[in-house]
Amino acid sequence: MMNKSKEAWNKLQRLADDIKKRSLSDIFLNNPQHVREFSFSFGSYHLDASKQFINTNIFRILLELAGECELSNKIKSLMDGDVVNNTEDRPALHTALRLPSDSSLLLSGKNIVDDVHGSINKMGKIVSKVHAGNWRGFSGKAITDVVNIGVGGSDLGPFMVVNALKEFKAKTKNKLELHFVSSMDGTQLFKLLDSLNPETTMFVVSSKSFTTIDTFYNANTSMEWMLSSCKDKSLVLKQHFIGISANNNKMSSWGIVAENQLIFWDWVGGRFSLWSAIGLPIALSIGMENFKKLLAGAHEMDLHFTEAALDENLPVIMGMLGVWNSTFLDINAHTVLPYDGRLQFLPNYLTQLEMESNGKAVTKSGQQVTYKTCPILWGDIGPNAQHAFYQLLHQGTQRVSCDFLAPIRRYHNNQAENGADEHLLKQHKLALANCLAQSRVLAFGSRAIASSEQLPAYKFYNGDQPSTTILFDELSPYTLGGLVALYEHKVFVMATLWDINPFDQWGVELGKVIANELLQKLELDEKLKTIDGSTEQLLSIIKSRMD
Amino acid sequence: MIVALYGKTLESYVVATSLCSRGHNVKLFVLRDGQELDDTRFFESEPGLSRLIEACGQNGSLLIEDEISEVDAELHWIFFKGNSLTNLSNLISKVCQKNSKLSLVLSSSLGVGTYKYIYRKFTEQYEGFRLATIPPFIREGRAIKDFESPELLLIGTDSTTLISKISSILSSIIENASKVMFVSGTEAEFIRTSICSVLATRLSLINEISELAEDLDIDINIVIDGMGADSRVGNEYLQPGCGFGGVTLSQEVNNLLEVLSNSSSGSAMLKAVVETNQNQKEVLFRKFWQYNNSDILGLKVAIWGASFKPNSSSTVNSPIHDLIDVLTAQGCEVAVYDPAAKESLLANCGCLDGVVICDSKTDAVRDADALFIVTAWEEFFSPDFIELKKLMKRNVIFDGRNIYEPGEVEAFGFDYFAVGRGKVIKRDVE
Repeated sequence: MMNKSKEAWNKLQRLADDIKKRSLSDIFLNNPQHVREFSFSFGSYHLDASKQFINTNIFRILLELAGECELSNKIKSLMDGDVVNNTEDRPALHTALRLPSDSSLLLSGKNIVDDVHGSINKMGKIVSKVHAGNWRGFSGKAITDVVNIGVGGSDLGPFMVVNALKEFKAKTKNKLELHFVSSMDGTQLFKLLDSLNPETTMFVVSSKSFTTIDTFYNANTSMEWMLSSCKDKSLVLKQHFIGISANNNKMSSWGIVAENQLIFWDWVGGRFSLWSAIGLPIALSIGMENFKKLLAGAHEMDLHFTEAALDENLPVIMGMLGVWNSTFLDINAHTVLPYDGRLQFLPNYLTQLEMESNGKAVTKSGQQVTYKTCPILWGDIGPNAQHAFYQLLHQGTQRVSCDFLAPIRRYHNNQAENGADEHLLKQHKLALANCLAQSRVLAFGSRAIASSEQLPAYKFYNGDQPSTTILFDELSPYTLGGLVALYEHKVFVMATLWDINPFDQWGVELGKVIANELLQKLELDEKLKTIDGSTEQLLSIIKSRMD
Repeated sequence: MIVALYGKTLESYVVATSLCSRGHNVKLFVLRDGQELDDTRFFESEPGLSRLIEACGQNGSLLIEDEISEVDAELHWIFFKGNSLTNLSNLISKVCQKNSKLSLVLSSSLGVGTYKYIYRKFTEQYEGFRLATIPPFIREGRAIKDFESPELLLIGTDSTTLISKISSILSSIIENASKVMFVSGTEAEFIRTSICSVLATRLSLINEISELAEDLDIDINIVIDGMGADSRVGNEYLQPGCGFGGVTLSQEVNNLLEVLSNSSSGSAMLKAVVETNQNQKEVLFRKFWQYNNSDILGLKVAIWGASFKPNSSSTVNSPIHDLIDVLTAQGCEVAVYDPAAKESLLANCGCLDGVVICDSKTDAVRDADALFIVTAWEEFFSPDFIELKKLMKRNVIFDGRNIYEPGEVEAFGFDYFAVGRGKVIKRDVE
């Protein structure tokens, strides 16, 4: 049964028609308890959903829908390792990657927690060897630069976390820099290799299948670059290449030596994999201890997601509101706005997490959906976005829902010796003030300022753009782990209410096949049999002007 | 005249005996509580010093004591080898508390800024406090000669009273010195630090040039021979090797580096000098690693020499520590022999897994997969290569001080690698 035919669904549609006629100011006025009712806390996180088009009744019916969709059972099913990814016939057990070593989770009779910690331990050995300066390159010099070659889930997660947690960099004997290379055209790699020394550079080749074409073009170029300094390929492979994949055989056949292979499993989705061996760059940057804190923070959120009642369960609330906005209120765009420069790449990371997971139009039983699913998601550091796309949020014609994110404390541990830190603290307060100001103006528009003055139309702010504000005590490996897990679970909740599979990504396959065909046409000068006129013309222009 | 000396360093003993033999009465306080002062294991390796100390003790001109007490001395002279200004300050406070109107000479390698700091601090507090600095200028192994006939004697002070006191106490030394300079305290410190920085720069530069010589298949010794003939360059401090160590050079350069990094001009040169030297301390390891194609797990490495230079028992900042660390981390066994640094080795790495400290060079090389030369002790200059070949499991020598002739060693059937000469492994050609 499609979720649309559920009773709660119909009620929500009626409630939506009703609330669309109301403003957020009305909602605040109508219920003196509104803010208290829609403020939720768990651990370090405080979630204020009061600036959403929500009221007691809507919230109740959303919970009814969650009940009718058997959300609680489905959460349990996810955590237990049931086959939740039906099109690929496997579980989605990213939560198992954060289970403590003394727990157990049986999958086909095998305790996968042992495997998980086996991989974490092997990762730990690599990390401590590099940090101690004992991982040596072909000439005997210590590794000082690590290049992560991966794309999608093998890139975005580690890249985002490494950038967010630079303040938590581990102490290492020598300097240690991390670099990320993903684009298939070689732009990043070309620029990067110029600044690196092959004697002291290590490559981490990350690919779940170990066949990703983007990654292997970059890996092969890197190998050639290494070989121009050291002709002994087996030595280069042994000292300069680490492989991370769910496919041992593919790693071996590319040449990654057994000691340098880190594995994860087909039950870990790429965009959910930063907690696995794919997180090696994170561990290299912040150290194993902090990496484990990241896992522990996520695990705490897992427990909350599993145990908390639905009406106080942060991922459930965020997921329900996401569905409410997109499906019932027809708000087709969602933006994520961290008021902390360290979270610069979080929106980009969430773009993949949400849109690759929920950008689907077919239910789990294979029927076409007749409602809107995942909105278009984008974002940027809030204060910078204020000078870029906020104009559209405030005075444009599109409805957009927003997530405002901010740590409450920052710079509080620093010693104010030269006054610079005091100034930084002021900057943090300025950012917080802006965060609150923007969500306030988005919600209440010109009414946010009590003024009797008649504004000209171009100065008028309509308001009524809904938003959620998520505050957390401070940014740390632990709180970031929880924050990312919060969004992961939010995605699952939305998928459950929409009855879609968030763990496959069939929509990215066809392009790869066609690209392969077209590459041959480009290289081999063949005539294509069945090709559209536009592509035909573009191909011929490229070919005629290339040489 | 009565002179009070403070410190448990090679210099304090050398100055003490030398002043005694010039008819002065010396009271030497070897401070047990002077945490950072050097120990005295250098006696045995410093030619003639033990005998002199004994003689001065017997004729009564030298009194050695442990605790600071009041002395009616013309001059008080502190020798400080630590790296903490606070500790030095505390020491001076103690001396000031026991003696009024102190005329103090300071010999320390704390570098630029020390004189000014101490002067300001104590002139305000103690009436009649006078300060001079005589930067240390003796070298281990030839300390007595260096003190008695120095090339350059720097006397840094702003006090004319002290100038005349020092001139009278050191009169014969001033006569013997090739050059004597009476300058301000800060000038004296800066001259000293600048000399050390130039020397360190020469060493790091020649090491860099040696690496290039290897790439070009040129013997660095020939190059140095030519360079040294140019009087603008000269021969001194032009020996390539596996990195310089010791207290003085390293500390002085680091001091200046610190001063420079706090100034607007920055410190690009010295930073590179220090980094190059640090890198050079592993040069033998890198050659060994490449020679074995990185498969060195379980191999046994014999090391001859550990002190930072020959005729010294000190391993402070010596490459031996870097080599032992990196070799053991890669799972190699290490057998070290040094004629004088055994105690220092035992104290620093005696309990490390995989490290054996040997009593003879023969013991060290038995069944070794490689021999490293780290210090150019004379007793390593002409080993019995035939015997050596029998003792070692694999016949390869990595010479960090260029003490052998490549042709000769190879004729005995050894693979011979040195710094800027000998065999070279090239990785970028098939």
